[in-house]
Order: sequence, then C-alpha cells, then structure tokens
Amino acid sequence: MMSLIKTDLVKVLKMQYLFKFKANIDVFSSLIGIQLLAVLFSFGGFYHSTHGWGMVINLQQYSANIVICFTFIWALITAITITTKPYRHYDFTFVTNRLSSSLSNILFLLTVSVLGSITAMLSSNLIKFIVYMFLDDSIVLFKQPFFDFFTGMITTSLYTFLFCSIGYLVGAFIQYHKGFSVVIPVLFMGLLIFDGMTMNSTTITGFTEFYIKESNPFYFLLKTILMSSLVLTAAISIFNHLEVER
Amino acid sequence: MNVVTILISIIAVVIAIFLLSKRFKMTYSLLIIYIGALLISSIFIWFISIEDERERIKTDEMTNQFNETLRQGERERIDPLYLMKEETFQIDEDQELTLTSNYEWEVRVYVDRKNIDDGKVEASIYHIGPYVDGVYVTDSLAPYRLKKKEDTLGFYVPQDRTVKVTMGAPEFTVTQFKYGEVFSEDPIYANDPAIYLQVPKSLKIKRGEGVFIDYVK
Repeated sequence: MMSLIKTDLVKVLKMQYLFKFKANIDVFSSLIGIQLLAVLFSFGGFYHSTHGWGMVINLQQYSANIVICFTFIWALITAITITTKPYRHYDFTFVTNRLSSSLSNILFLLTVSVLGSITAMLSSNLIKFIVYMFLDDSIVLFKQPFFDFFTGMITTSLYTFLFCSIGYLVGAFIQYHKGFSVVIPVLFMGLLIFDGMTMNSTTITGFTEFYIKESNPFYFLLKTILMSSLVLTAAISIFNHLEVER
Repeated sequence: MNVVTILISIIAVVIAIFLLSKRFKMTYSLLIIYIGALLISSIFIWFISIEDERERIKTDEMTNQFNETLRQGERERIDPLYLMKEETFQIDEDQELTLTSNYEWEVRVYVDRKNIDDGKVEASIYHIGPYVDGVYVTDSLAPYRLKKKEDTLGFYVPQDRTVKVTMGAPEFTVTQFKYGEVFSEDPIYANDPAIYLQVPKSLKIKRGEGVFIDYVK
C-alpha cells in the first residue's frame, strides 16, 4: 500500500540522525575504553638523552599520539559496525530510503569523529596530569598553547572522519559480498608487505604520506574532504545497489 | 602525591559511584566521568603550564650572530642573559699567558687587546642555553670556572650534572603544520661557551690545549 504523506528529506534525516545517535550511544563506551588503554600505553613517553656543556639532559616527552592513533582504529571499526545488518535494521523504524539512511550515518560518523578527536586531544592533559602526580625531581615543562590545541582538534577530526569514511566503504563492500571481509584485510596486508619489500612508498605508505606530509592546512583540508566525499559516494552507491533489507 | 590529589581522587570516586549506580545508563555515566576527568586535568595543566621565556632559538642563525658579535668586539649587543661569569685577574705584562681548557671540544676565546697596559685580564664567559623546548634551563647548569695558575689561565667545565626534564610534546596532528613534519624538531639546544678576554696591549698569548683563539677586530 502506498502512503499519501509526502516526506521531507531534511526532516527524516534529522529524525534518523537523532535516533541513531541515541541508539548507537554505546560506541562512546568503546571510545572511552580504547582511549584509556592508549593513555596507559602513553605513560612510557618518548625518552631522549643528550650530553654536553657539563650536563646530561634526560628528557622524557609525553603526547597523545598513541591515543589519536587508537581513535583512528576505533573510528574505522565503528564505521564498519554501523553498516552491519543489525544496525541497518534500525532504519526500518522510519520511513527511509538508502540515501537518507546513508546521509544520517555520515552525519553520525561526523559527530563521533569530532567528539572522539576532542577527547583524544584533551587526553594529552590527562596523561600529563597523571605523570605530574608521580614525578620526583624533574623539571616540568608543560605548555598549553590554545592555537595548537585548536589546530590539533581540527586536524584529528579530519583524519578521524577520513578513517570513518574508509570504514564505511569497507563496510559497504562487505555488505555487498561477504567475500570482501577476507579480501580487504588480505589486500591491505599484502600491499603493506609489497611496500616494505620494494622499499617504496607506493600503495598504503604512499597514501599515508600523501596526508601526513602535507604541511599546508588548506591543501590538507581539501585532500581530506575530497577523499572522504569520494569514498562516501562510492559507499552510498554500493548501498543503493543492495536489495531491500539485505 | 599531595593532599589535593588525594582529595580530587576521593571526590572522583564518590561521583563515579553515584553515576555508576542504576539511576544512569552506563554509557552516559562513563561519558560524564571521562569528560569530567579530561576537563579537570586540563584545568590543572593550565595552572602549571609555563610560558616561553624567550622566542624559540633558531640555532644556526643565533650561533653565527653570537660569535660574529663577539668577534667584532660588540659585547654590549649581547643579551646579559648569556653572560655566565665575569672575573678579573692580575697579570704581569712581561709574561706569556697560556690559555687552556678541559672542554670536550675546543672552546673559542676572543682576545680583545686594550689600549693600555693596566696589568689586568678581564674575562667573561658567555653561554647560550641549554634551552629545552624554548625554555632556559641554565639554573641547573654548574657554573664554569676560570682559574689562573702562574702563567696559565684555564677554563674548566665541571663534571656532568644530570638533569631530568619532563615535557609535553605536541601531537603529530599539530607538528605536521607547525614544523612541516610529523616528528617535531629536537627540543634541546645549547651553544658552545665562549670566553671574551680583555688583555693589556703588550701581553703575549699562547694557545694551549682545548682552545681556539680568535682576535677581536
């Protein structure tokens, strides 16, 4: 039976987004767990020693780099998870189509990317705080430039969203054919080994360097947005080809 | 751990027990506790954060400027912060003064001849750094010594003193743009010490072990 009520995409999107945010709130439990684990690993710090001028300087540096990397992994897994069948079944609570479902998923991923990045950046202070509590006779040089925090937060959000996008595409491939759940990890590992054997940054390392070696914030923004858009468009078109309720 | 830490920990545990009770959904409680901990630690770190004492030193440029200024005899242009010590020694102008050092590399001595023979050698020790992440940590440096024994003036660096420094490093998502690369630059910088000697005009100077003599123009 056909409904005569006209649906507004924005309205549907808003409802779906809010519903998904509430329904998937547990992703934040895993975020906290993974970030706390990374905080624990970060206590080792980075040790550096130098001598000269009548002095030996033993320098211990602490940062949230491990937390950020763990957040990327979390983002990838979260994005793959929301493409799975149980999560996609939530959509059928509403009047929906593949497009609105994907768009609300993207909005959800964007939100968790930003939240995950803020907590990742703030976790550097948690690391410093705990380290400070257990310090003995060390000179403490902690700085908190707001601009650095702001830059870090935006950049981390962009990276995290890129990982979400990749995860969403991977999820789409797996939903299209289960064989991809084997092919993609094998391909990833294979390309990494290929890069290592050829001592050449061509595939995975080349892709990584394409981003981490970009020192111009504008170009970086452009690269991430373009790549995310491309990857998400591919994912949406794969989902559009899926049969209903597959 | 001080009293404040213990107090904060107790309050945190009480809040955690309250939030983890069945009145709240587990995830919300965890989120509130985690974000609370992040914010409290951020406020704490903000209170103990330090400001750069000086502009970040650009190593090569700074070193060249420093040495060139001493070579030109324009000591007044050098920041007094870099002056570690000043000492005056009595000397007989007829003797030959040998300069030596125990410094691990050659220490540079700038010799400035006065217009008169006043029987005095005025020595100044200059030293830039060490800086760690733009912060001067010279307070931890044992002062260098100048010692005159008969016809020898020696520059002595004391035995290595160990200093522990703990610092927060910027994340790679910051350094990527700040320094143009993912790994931040070496945060430790120091310049080799330099000695500026004002000597009577007819005093003969002999180069001993561990020094390099540069005459002021």
